[in-house]
Amino acid sequence: MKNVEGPCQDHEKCIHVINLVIDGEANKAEEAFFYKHIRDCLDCAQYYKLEQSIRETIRKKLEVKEAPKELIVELRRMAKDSFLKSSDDVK
Amino acid sequence: MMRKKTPQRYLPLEKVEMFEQEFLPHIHSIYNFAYRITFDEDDAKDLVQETYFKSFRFIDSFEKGTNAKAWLFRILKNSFINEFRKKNKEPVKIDYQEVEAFYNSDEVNHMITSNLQVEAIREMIGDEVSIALNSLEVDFRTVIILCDIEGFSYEEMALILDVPIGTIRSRLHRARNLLREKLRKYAGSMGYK
Repeated sequence: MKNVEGPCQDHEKCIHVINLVIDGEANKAEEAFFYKHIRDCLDCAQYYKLEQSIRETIRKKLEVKEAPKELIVELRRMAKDSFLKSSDDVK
Repeated sequence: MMRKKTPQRYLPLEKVEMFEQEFLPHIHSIYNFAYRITFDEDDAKDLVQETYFKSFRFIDSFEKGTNAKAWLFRILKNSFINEFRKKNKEPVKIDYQEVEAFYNSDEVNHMITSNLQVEAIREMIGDEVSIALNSLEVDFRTVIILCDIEGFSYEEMALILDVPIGTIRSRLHRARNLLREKLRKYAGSMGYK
């Protein structure tokens, strides 16, 4: 087991990088730092797993409210009124 | 990116087609976001109607084939700030400084991480996550929704919210600290240590 227990010496920087990696916003240098560091630091490995599971839970378990059908019907009507009426005005 | 410098002149039927093919496919995401920031189905409907109505009015400023979803979210966010917050007399800005001092610190990151387990998060049901998310201030809730649910990049979020990318990063960081703390409390109440 490579992971070393105990507080990470540079946890604030690691948290920043871990979040960038999970969000797909890390550059190559940050990714390289992350993959090297995570193997050796139990503290950051735990933080990474936790953050991932929170994102996953939000995506999978949060109910997505779908727009009511009548709202979609109304928007279609508004679009046609707005666009086709303005063309009639031009004529 | 979202808007072209020179406004277009679309034909009426072209506009109807753009509405159907580029704007309407995002209706559920738009409605879900509206509901998550207003907590009310009628307000969400009004906000979505207002958003789409404005998209019709300003359709010539939208470049066909670009990022319609981000463009619509930006309109919705502006409508929410300009009209809904005024109407409901909700404070426009929250006091970030107040929460920053505590939640941005190293000790808190450490404390929250070590007290919250992955297993506890996975055991949670949607309601618990929803309550935790809903209890965040709207600005923090917004960045979590845009990033984690809608999958916008930081750059897109900066455009939607009209703030620098650095602000997006720090707001997300604070929002996540707050959310973790809420979830930790729920996990504690579920018996996880």
